[in-house]
Amino acid sequence: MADKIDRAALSQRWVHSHEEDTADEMVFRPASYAFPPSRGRRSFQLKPEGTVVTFGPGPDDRSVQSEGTWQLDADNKLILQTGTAERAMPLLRVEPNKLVVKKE
Amino acid sequence: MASPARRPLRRLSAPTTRSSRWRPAVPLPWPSDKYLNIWVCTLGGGLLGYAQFPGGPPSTDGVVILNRAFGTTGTASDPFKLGRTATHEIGHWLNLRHIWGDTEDCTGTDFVDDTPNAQHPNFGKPTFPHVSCTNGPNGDMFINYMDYVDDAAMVMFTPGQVVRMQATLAGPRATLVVSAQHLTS
Repeated sequence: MADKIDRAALSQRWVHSHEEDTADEMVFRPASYAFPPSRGRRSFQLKPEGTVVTFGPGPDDRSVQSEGTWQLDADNKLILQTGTAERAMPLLRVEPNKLVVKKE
Repeated sequence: MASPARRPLRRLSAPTTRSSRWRPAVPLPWPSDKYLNIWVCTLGGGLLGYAQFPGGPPSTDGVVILNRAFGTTGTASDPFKLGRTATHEIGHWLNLRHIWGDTEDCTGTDFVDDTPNAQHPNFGKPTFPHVSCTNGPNGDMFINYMDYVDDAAMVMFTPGQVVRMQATLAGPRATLVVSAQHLTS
C-alpha cells in the first residue's frame, strides 16, 4: 500500500495544469502557479475542515463554482462531493507545488 | 460588421464622470440588437475568453477575448494566434455549446446530433483518435471549434452546428440580420 498522504498538505486550491498531463496522470498546481492562457481550467479548493469549492468553465466559458465536502480514504483516493455529484481521484503523490492524480 | 460613422470608435473608451473617475474603465456596449460587441482586454487567471448566450442582459451581450489571443498579429501569441478564440466565443454567442456537453460523465449534450458525445474537453493538439463516451472508432471531434484545443487544431463546425447558428440568426438574434442589411443597402 502506498504511503498515506498528509491531509494538511492538500489544504489549498489546486488548479489543473493540463499542459503537464500524461496519458496516465493529471497534474494540478497551486493557484499561485504561473499558468499559460487556457480556454478553461478546473480547480478545487480543499479546506482543512473538510469543505471544498470546485471551479470550472461553464457552458459559456465563464467560471462556475460549487460547494461541497471532501475526504481522503485509506487508499489515498480524494473524494469530492458537491450536491449529487461525486468525483473520486486516486492521488499518486503530493509535493509543495504539485499534485499528481491517476487518470481513470 | 461595418462600423457606422455615427458611432465613432472612441466610444469604446469609457465616459469619465466625476462619480466614476476612480472606477476601472468599462467600455459601454453598442446596442446588442444591432451589433455584436467584442471586448478585447486582459483577463484574470489566463482565461482566453467568454461569451453570453442569446437572451441575456443587453449590457453584457457579446464576447470577451484576451488581448493575447485576439486576431493573428500584434499581441496575439502562440498557440492562440489564429483568431480561433473569437470563433469559439462567437459560436457561444450564436447559441452553440461545448461538444462534451458541459458534464464530465457523458450525460451532457450540445443539442447537436452530428457531434459525437465526449466526456471531457480536449487540450493542446490531441492525437487521433481520442475515444470517450463509447464514441469510437473516431472518438471525440476535437478538431471542432467548440472544443478547447489549440487554435491550429480546431478547423470546423458541423452542418448541425451551422443549422443551430442559423436558427439563432432567424430567431433570438434576427434583429442583427435586419440591421446588417440596412448597413449594406
